[in-house]
Amino acid sequence: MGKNIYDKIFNITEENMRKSGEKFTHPKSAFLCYTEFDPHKVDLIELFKIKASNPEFLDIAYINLLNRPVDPEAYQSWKKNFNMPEKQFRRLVIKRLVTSKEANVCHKRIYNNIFVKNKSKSQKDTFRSRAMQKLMPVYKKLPESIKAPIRKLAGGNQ
Amino acid sequence: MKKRIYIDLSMIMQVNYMTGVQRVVQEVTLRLLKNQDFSVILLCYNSENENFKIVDNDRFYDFFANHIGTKGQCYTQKSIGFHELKTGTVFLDLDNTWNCRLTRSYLYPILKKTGIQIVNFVHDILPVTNPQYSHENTVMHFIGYIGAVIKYSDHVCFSAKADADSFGELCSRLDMPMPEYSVMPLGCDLKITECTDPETLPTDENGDILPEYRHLIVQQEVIDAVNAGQYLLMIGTVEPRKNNKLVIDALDAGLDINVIIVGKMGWNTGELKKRIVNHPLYNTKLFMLNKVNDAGINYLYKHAYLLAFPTFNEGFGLPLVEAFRHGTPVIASDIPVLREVGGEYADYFDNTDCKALVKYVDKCRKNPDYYNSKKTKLKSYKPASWDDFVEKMSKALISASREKGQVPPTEIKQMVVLTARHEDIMKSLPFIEAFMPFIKELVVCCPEWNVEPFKENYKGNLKLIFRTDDQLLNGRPLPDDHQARNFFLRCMIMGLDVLDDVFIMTDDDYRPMQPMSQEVFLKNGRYQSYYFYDLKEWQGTYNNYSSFDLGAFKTRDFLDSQGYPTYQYSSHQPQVIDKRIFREMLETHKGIENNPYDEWSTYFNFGLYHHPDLFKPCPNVSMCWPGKLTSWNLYHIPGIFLFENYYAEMYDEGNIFEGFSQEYYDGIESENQEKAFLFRKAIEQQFDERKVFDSYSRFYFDREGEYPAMIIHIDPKTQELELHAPEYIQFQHDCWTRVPVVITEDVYKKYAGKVLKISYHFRNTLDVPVLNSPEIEIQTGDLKLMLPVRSPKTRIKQGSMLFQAKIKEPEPPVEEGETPPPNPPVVVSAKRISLILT
Repeated sequence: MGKNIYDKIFNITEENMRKSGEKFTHPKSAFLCYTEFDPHKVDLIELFKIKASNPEFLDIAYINLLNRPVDPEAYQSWKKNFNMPEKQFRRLVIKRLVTSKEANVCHKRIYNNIFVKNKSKSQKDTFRSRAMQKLMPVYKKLPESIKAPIRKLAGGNQ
Repeated sequence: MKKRIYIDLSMIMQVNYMTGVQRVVQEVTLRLLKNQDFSVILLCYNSENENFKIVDNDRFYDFFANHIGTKGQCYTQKSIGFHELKTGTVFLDLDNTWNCRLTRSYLYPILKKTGIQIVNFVHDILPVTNPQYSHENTVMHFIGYIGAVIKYSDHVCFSAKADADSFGELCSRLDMPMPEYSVMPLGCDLKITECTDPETLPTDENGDILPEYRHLIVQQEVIDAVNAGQYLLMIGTVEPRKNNKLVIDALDAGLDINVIIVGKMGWNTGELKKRIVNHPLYNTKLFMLNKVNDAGINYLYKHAYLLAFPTFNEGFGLPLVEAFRHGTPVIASDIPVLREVGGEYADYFDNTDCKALVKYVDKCRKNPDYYNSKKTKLKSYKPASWDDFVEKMSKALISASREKGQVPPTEIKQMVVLTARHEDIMKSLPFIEAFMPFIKELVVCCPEWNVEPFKENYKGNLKLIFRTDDQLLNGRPLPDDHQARNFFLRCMIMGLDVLDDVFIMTDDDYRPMQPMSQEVFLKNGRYQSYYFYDLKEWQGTYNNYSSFDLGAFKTRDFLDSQGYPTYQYSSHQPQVIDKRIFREMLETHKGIENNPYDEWSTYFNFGLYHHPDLFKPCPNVSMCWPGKLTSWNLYHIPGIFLFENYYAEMYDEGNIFEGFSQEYYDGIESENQEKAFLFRKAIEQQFDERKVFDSYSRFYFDREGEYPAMIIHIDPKTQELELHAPEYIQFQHDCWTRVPVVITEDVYKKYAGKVLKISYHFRNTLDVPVLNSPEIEIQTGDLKLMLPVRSPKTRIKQGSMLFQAKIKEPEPPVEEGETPPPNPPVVVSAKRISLILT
């Protein structure tokens, strides 16, 4: 029983839909996504790993990041990217959705965002770090008796 | 004592219309608020804070019953977390919460974990049985909702037997048991006096009608439509399922009466709306009113010639009974649910045949005797009231919360231990005898060769009963895996006749620390079950999963698949067991004993799910679990330490309990108090240290929109190993903090056969190293781990943290005394992060 109860309900619903002569526009994975996702947080690495075709992934990403399936207008606009390699497409979708205004008002906690690069202050090439990089080889060649007071002076303990 | 009921009003508080669903929510809530048997707490989901806002009962009542104030004024400043709802209470879900972002497939497992009973009012299951009549998004949401109801609900209420039947059929197709249920017809006694002359209503000093009277005014457009002549009324949300189209078709086919369509516009009605407003008879014989208040609805029912209800399907069909109450005859679709609700009071027709409707109206108008006989018949109609409805619902609420399981005994006298180390339990027994005086009997399950030495050396007063492993196993082989063996043996124990129904299960090194009563285990008729973690959050030892860890993961998967709560109960302290419930678990999940599950997590979560009135999950009261505080991030700080999970090495020189007695003696309680103080201090320090990193994580999320983590992955452009790290990181000085590290699968794929090692290096602002970690090897396949990071002792406030990931060749085995050959990294990726130390 367990989790696949949702899967079975979908199958029954889809059968009823078919009997009425109509069919769903969204894939099964989008339906089941609602039964599995956490409404408050999303782990982008987990999302990236989900097994799905590009159109399916689009829906899954929308639901996970924006709490709604993709709307017909957006679907049309994404359609031209469906032929992209899977990973490239996923990166594009995640990047666009994560940085969208809508995602901003969704208040979803985002984990493991390797898709949007932050501009690390520490990575900035400051004068001090440049100077330190140049002095480091010199420091390394000094005898331990000189290194120790320098370390102490600089606040180090090792 | 009043039963506490939580009602989720998240949806009704959002919308400004009133369909059948909102009517049920309003009428039930208003009445339950005045019911003396219940203490009602009104909740509204707050997505921003991920909790429930609490709604003020009086202001809610004023707004919905007396039209005083606004919805916004109903909220209090108080809120409550999903995990904080009180155990033993009832969560009542009446609203169309399938549309709520707080999905039920997410919420209900949390509620069940807390021991809360869930009662649902299921309006219908039409999005499953007739999905073509619902918006696809509604169907998407509904599948999760109805699945969660089937999986987790304790009692389901329906308004018609037809609904219960189709729900039951769905359960049976899913091979799921139908939950307990009740059927309660909706009320239709809307107590409202409409007013068509606003000048008669009381006004304030400015001549404005007082707010509490404004809702009584019938809108002018309603009066105009009514005055246009005899009319066929159609009421309800305008949507394809309601089949409004048939009435327009009938009008085109010669229907000789005015038509008034009332209801908010639903989905997929663009064409219909166009057809109505472009109809030649629009606003002369055909009227469409979308925003009519309750007074207007009343007025329309009262003056209608007939109510037409050509719907394709319904959960109940409220307009039917509301029309009956007003003495208005009804022509309705010939479908089971309307037959059940309308009985002999309505006439029925084929809802695909517009001419049948034309004929029926003709028949009524040309044959006044027939029409009047229908009106006369309606005088004998006894409308169900909302009071009746809520009375039935109250019974359902009480039924859901009554005790369903075995009644626990009033006395516990037996303790059971499974041991192969009689010396250890011997040392623990004096503590048990001294501090747990209610224990009179000890059942020892042990290998045969342990029995005699045990008997010879035991000098205490407990009555000893022995059962050997052979007697226990009865020829069944023991599993090899440690965790599987533990679980298997405990399952076998439950078959022993010598056991009391309820007993305390212990291990040979669990020692009580102070005198206690049996209330520690059985209080107010509920088994106190002690958990120390949530299995869903258990990470295990990051690069070396033990049998315990693997068992925990398997137990988590099993419990989750069954919809059971996932508390982790292996708290390393004695626990109370009801062998009848344990046996029930073995019976329900045949063959479960052959799995490497965590025995107490399996048993207690099963018990809590099936007998919520008998179990109370409590935070553990065991000291020294874990013995090393850096083994994992503690889930909580125990409120009190009642048991010690004895580790001899903690008493060694230089360790926390150095100098304390390891043997029992009269008066050891004061030593125990001291030990508890020392251990608590150590735990609190660890929590304080963690707080710095936790608050940094929250702040980082607020600022950067993501939670900080070190991520090792393959750069999509360069296809090289890359490290993604937060912009800055913050720790407390000189402490251990666990930092999330994530490794993507493509790293292992790209560097198959190689070894991944990570290290970190702290540097001060002058880039001088202040602390270097050793290289930590990551077990292949580990995707997420909480890396213990030691922060520097140095009193620097800022600096940087250099985080490195290295791919190396596997190191060949080295003989003792030999120097390992150099093993330079194949690939290195490093990231420098700004560091703040507090």
